[in-house]
Amino acid sequence: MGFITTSFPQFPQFTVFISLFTNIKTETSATIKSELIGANKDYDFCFLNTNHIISLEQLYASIHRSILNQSNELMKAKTLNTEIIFNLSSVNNIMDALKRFGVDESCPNLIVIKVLKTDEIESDTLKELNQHLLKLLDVDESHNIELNDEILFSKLASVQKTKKLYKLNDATYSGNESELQAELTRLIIGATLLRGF
Amino acid sequence: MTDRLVKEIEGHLPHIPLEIVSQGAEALVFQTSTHPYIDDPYLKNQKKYIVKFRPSKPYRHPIIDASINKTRTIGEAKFMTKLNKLGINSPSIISVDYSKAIIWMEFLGSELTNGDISSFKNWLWYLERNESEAKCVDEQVEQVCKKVGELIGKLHMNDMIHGDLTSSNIILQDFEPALIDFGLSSYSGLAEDKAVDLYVLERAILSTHSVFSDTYNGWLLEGYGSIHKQYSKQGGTKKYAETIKKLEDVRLRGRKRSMLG
Amino acid sequence: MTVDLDQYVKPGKGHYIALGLEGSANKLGVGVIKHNIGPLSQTNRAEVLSNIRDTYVTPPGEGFLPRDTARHHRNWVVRIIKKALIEANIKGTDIDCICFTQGPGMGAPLQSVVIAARTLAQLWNNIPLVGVNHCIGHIEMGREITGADNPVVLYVSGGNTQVIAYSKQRYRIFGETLDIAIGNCLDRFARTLKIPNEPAPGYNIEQMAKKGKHLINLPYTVKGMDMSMSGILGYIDQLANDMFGKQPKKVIDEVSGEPITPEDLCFSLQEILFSMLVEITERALAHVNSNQVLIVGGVGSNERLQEMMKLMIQDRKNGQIYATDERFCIDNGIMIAHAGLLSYRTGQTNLINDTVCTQRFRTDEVFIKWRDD
Repeated sequence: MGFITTSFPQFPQFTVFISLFTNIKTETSATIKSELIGANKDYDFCFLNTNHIISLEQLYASIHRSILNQSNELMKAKTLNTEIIFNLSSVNNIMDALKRFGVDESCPNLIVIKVLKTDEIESDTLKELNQHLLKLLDVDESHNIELNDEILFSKLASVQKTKKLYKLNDATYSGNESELQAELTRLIIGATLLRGF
Repeated sequence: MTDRLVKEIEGHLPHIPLEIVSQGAEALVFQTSTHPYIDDPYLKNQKKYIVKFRPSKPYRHPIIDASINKTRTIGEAKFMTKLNKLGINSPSIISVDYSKAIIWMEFLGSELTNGDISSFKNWLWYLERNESEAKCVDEQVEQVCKKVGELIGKLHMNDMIHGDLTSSNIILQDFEPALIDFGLSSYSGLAEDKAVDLYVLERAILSTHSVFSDTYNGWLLEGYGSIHKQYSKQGGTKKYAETIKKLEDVRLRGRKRSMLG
Repeated sequence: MTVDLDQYVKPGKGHYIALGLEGSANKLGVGVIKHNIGPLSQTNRAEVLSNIRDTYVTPPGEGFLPRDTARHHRNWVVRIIKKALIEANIKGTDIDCICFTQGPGMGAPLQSVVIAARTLAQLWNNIPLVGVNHCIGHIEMGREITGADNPVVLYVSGGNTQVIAYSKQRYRIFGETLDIAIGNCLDRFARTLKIPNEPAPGYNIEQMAKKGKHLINLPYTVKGMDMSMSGILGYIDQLANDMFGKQPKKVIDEVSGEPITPEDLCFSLQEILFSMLVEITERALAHVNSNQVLIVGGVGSNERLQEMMKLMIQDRKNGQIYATDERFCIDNGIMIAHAGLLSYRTGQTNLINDTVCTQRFRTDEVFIKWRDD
């Protein structure tokens, strides 16, 4: 199975399910978009394209912050799924965030996230969830690979696009290629945390 | 640190083991072995993190209190991010809870032989208390002082004002200084503001490291000047001259100030 | 303490008596203090034999000018000294040293008092003179009265705003005002509102502030361990002029919708200024790893400031606050006598041609020979 899970020390009551799917057809992406607008229960996930996701740390920072906002009752978006997308963005505009990070027909890869209540997870819950997604996204298991930093940075994301999106072209870098993922992750997290100020 | 404050932070950060590092005037600084969301972050130190919490101050009027804590938390996060972008040594930010005035950040520095954290202050104190006088003004101290000066020079070249420069707000990571504590930081291109920033540090060195303060302050200004020379294309030389001139004014004002009983 | 304080005791005597004269601002103070031989301690306290003060009070809306204040001091100094000697039940010849404020302060009033000191010294068979730094007087008296052994000192008065801590035989200034002093700021605002100067403008502001309830928004200007107040004063002065000037403008509290009163202005000014004072004090505490605070100086008698400081110190481990009442907080002669006598007991006296007063005299210029901790 290609999914991973994580949970945050502050919020043990939640478990985060994350699964990566590649080779998604354009039609499928279009369907997801319309079903999301229609709030179809089957599509109650956070769907992300992979163009601007360069590390798990970037992703986790956003999920953590979204759960924190939820528990502080300070969410800007209506749902936690959208809140996660919004918190990936350095621009204070939810529609813009959805456009940049949400489902995008031109990107064949999707990261799918769901925040579950830990005590409601039974032995098969996660597996079933992933099966459901395989069907929903119409891909076979070979296109459901485990998400990690290597794949994100060197295969799925565009460093150039990401730098541009987060306005990080003029930042000071060490020039050391092996440090770039680390440096960008730090800068991106900083940029998202300061959104709106 | 009192129980009231411990309870407050524990309520905000359940399940996070916290160990107090310092109780400053505006914030409590803790270290923790737990990262809020990932085990192997892209940070220099993956075993320790800093949690900075600005508790509400019961002595302040609630309106003043809320406004100060909010402004400072946002201001500090913003300042750190900007420094990060400019490549000026300072901790990197991990997470912020604006509503509770909590900032998680990278842990910088190491433990000195006596167990104290390697701030510029603690290191100089350590040398003063445990080493010979010659050691207190040796080449390594000179190098570090100059690097601190350079760091502040870079800050000022970017029109950023620290606002609370003391030897305890400079952390040494492998003898490379980094700036911390930006609750009072601001942005200004005025020579006056930069001069006050330098004057605050000069006075802090004088009162905290009085024995060799003249030597230290001399080295700091040398480093400060050398960075401005490097930036001569961006007007560094002129900016330096203006700031130093203002610094002399500010010093004079300081001495004149004590007028009435 | 290992400093020998009894090298200069008069043969056959077991104690010292010092006369102190203070007149650096609008208070003329004369005090007589007695130290028994041996180091001062809980069981060997300094003894206040007398502490007399007379204040030069000006009409509402007016500050005290150097020339008029000096005249007041000249007119009263003989009477006050006599009163102090009678109350202490001593004669001039019982005195070991005559201590006077050498600075900082207003030139003319300082000079009028030092002339009295010099005259008496010569009149009474050349009693040694001891010049005292006014701020050191406040600090040492505060320590003696409260028993605070090594506190961070907040010194707040009409002319000074300093956060001081002792290190290596000097009282070092960690934080201070970058422009005007706190007392000066309050006095000037009292003048704007035409609040009486009797008994003291700051006291009257304090009483009005107790009746204020709406907080107006004022700038908060802490800079490291320093602070600045002229901007705040300018802002609130302007507001007061708008509200109570020739064309009065009503200002409404945003929360309650009620009009802002002069009491609200006093309240707001105190809240913001004292918050800054407490913060810079706490900054110094953290910086030098101390947990004791001593408040000295005229503004130190303000109850709200003391209350706020207490709330701050309660959140620090083993935190303790020390403050003195108005007898010792407000400028007085006894503190000059006390600090001067400590100086005398370590052999520091002034030859008569070395008794010139100085308006500028920083706290950290004084070598504290009587401490070596």
